[in-house]
Amino acid sequence: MPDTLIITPESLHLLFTQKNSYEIFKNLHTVVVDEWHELMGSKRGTQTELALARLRNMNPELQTWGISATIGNLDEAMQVLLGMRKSAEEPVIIKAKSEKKITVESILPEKVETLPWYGYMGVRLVDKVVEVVNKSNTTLLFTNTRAQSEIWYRNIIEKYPEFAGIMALHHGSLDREIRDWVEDALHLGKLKLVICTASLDLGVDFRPVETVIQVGSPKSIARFVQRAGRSGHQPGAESKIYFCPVNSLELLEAVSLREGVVKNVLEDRPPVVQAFDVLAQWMITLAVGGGFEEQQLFEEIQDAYGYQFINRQEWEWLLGYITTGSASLTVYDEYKKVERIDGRYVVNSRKVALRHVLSMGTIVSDSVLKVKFQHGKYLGAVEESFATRLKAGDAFYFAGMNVEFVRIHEMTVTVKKAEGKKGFLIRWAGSRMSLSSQLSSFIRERVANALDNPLKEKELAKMQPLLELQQERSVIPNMDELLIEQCETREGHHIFIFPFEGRLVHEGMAILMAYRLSKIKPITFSLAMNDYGFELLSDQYVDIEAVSKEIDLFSTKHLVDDIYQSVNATEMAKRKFREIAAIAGLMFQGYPGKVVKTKHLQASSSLLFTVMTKYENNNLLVNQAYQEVLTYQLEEVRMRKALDRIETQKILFKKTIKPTPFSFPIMVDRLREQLTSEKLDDRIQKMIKQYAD
Amino acid sequence: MQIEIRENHFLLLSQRAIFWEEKQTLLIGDLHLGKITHFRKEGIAVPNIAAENNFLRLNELVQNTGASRIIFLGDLFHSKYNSEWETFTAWRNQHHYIDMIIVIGNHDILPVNMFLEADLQVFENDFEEDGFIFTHHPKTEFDHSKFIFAGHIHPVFTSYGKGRQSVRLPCFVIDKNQAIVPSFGVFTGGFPMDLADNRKIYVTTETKVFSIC
Repeated sequence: MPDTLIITPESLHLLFTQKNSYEIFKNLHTVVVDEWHELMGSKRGTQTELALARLRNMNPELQTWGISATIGNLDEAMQVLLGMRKSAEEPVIIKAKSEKKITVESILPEKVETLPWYGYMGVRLVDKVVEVVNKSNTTLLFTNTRAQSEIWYRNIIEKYPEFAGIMALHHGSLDREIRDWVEDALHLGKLKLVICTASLDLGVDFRPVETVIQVGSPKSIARFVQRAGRSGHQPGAESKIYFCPVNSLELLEAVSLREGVVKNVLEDRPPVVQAFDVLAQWMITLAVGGGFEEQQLFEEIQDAYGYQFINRQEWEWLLGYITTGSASLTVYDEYKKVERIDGRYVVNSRKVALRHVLSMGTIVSDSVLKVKFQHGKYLGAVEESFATRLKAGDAFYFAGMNVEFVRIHEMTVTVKKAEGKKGFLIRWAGSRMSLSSQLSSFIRERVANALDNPLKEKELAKMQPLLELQQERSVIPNMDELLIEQCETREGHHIFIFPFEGRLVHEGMAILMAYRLSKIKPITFSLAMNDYGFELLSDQYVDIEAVSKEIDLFSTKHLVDDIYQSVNATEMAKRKFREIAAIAGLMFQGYPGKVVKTKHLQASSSLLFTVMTKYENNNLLVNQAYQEVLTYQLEEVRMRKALDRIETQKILFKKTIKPTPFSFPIMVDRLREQLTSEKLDDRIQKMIKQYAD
Repeated sequence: MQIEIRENHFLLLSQRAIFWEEKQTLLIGDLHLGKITHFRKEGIAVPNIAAENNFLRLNELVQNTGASRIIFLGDLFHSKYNSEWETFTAWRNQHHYIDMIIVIGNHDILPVNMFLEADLQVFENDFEEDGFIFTHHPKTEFDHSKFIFAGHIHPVFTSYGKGRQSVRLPCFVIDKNQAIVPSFGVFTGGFPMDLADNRKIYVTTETKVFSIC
């Protein structure tokens, strides 16, 4: 073995599938975990915890270091890294003395009308952005999505052709070779501007970068600081970051971000706990690598923070799962993976071992197709769902170019340069980020005193006309008030509620409210939400003011039950289960080059979910799916806090004639879910009647 | 729901099949049997319950209609041979008193003699009777004296309601010269259909068939 090994959590786990892993690691002296905040809070962090627990078991003298610049819960981060059995020497936290100086500046429109009320592309301020870029030698422009970065690239190159050759694009779907070239060119100072996504906000040291621009809200102060840190990346140097809002309400976020940076408020990274899918994978990994003795491993994993509370019953379920499949799958030979021989759990089948090694890891991505030019150069990858909808001759923007689709063959999309055709944009799947609780509390304060104190911040001064319009059509709520707006349009009856808590919490609340209202009478709601509030839309009128006097809409009583009762929680858990099933090894993702279509995997994971729910009362993996929905998707803890706060607030009911600046962005949101208590047959009947009218 | 085509009467059934009353004949499209077992063999865990559902619905249909004949409009068996074929032949033997006809679809790659051994009449392309043609692929050119029944595309229709509601359901598509039946199998995708002149669309829930004008 080499003296020093630089490795990812996935590759580290891979080393444990080798029979001689004890020989490899027994004399390991020090482990340094860089960017610990990026791992903690994800299942890759859990993988790291498990591997560290094993390494400490092999060598109790092992030294562990963690490095992070942007983490709120430092003490917890330390505990997770070092495990539950403290090492002989007391752990210490070393902080740098010099405070990093970060200056935040907003890129403002001349008039607030320049910015749209909603949307996230935000190219309207492109001239102002180019002004900033021209002032420094090298600039990184961060966007929140890959599609957004493609749009910005196009817009700049079309308006400012002089950027050709000194501007580059960098995002996760581009080919590794292209990304390496961009990173090298940045390092050598050859590029004036790089448009990138989070793909560039970690790790690499880009000394020549002078300026960072963030387009669109990063939704978290820590993430913003992390990106700011890409500029002035030397000790003592100052970091400068510009924030470019993409819609008018983001001017509120601009002020809040700056306040967060000044007060140095960083978000916590809550560690993942009880991830049974990762543990199941780890058990099979060890079984492939020479086997394990169960009592010894049971004690060892309790050293990991994420499994400190695991009980014997859960452990035995897992042992059963890896040896026979779960209770509902035992009949199938496909799921017998691990055998128990002389008290040791081992994998003897070479086929099982090979399949396991090929599908290890915790990153379950949508299946992607490679994109290449006819003459052979690889450009990157697009999602299968996008590629399969293309017809020959269709043009699309990719890697900053306008390319024409030629054909798909053997998981590769062949393209050529598109001449004179207008391309359309690729959509990449990916979840939208949600506002952090720290940032949302700043925003609530901003909103509350926006009218009293408009000239305090220049961003708010710009927003003045918009805020006045909100006040005129409805009202701007104070800190102790909750605003509910109601209006009727051609689409139907809208109810808007504005807790300002971030889209994930709002998703949960929307489901909860819709469920509680739908218990009163058969009704169908379509739900939409953004970071400021959520909407319940229906074809029937609901007198929300009268209803809220009769039933306790915002109560935390039966919160979890009510969410589970709504069909949406089941649907969400079903979707979550896809990832869990893949990590736990329930679904094989295919041999390299012979990838099973994702659509098929999706169908089968949902069937598995249905069967396991039906035939097994206590399937840990199904339970985990529900738990993950509550914890990560709906942010139950935050939702409880928000509901508790709402119960102390005065509710302002406003009937508006037109949508307001607050409600309009939610209304036009096209990602919607439905919640219904009407019978399917009745719903169809009603719809058909509407066709006839 | 009963409809009339060229003086014959057809029942559109919520189990996603058509019953031709004059001939006591069931028309069934795109079962895709074997697909589930095929997936499981490839290491993808699909519980067999989905496959059982197909046979439950077939039994229900046969009992409710008292059909004396079934025409399968192609894609009966999705895969090369696997154990699900045995399940099918056992089912077929239980219903030996029913005549069964298959027109071959693009997924029916089993050797023809296997269909014959299972006591099915096999037509490589079209089966024709009384001016009606039964086939797998919908046709694009028409002889106006004939009416076509086809499958293959798994039509679905999304109907929209007020309040941005939508429901996507399998449907029957009845044009002037051609009818397309929804896919019978549970483990299949769908091709969205639009309204058009001279076209009737009937969506089906698990309990009822609705006519969309």
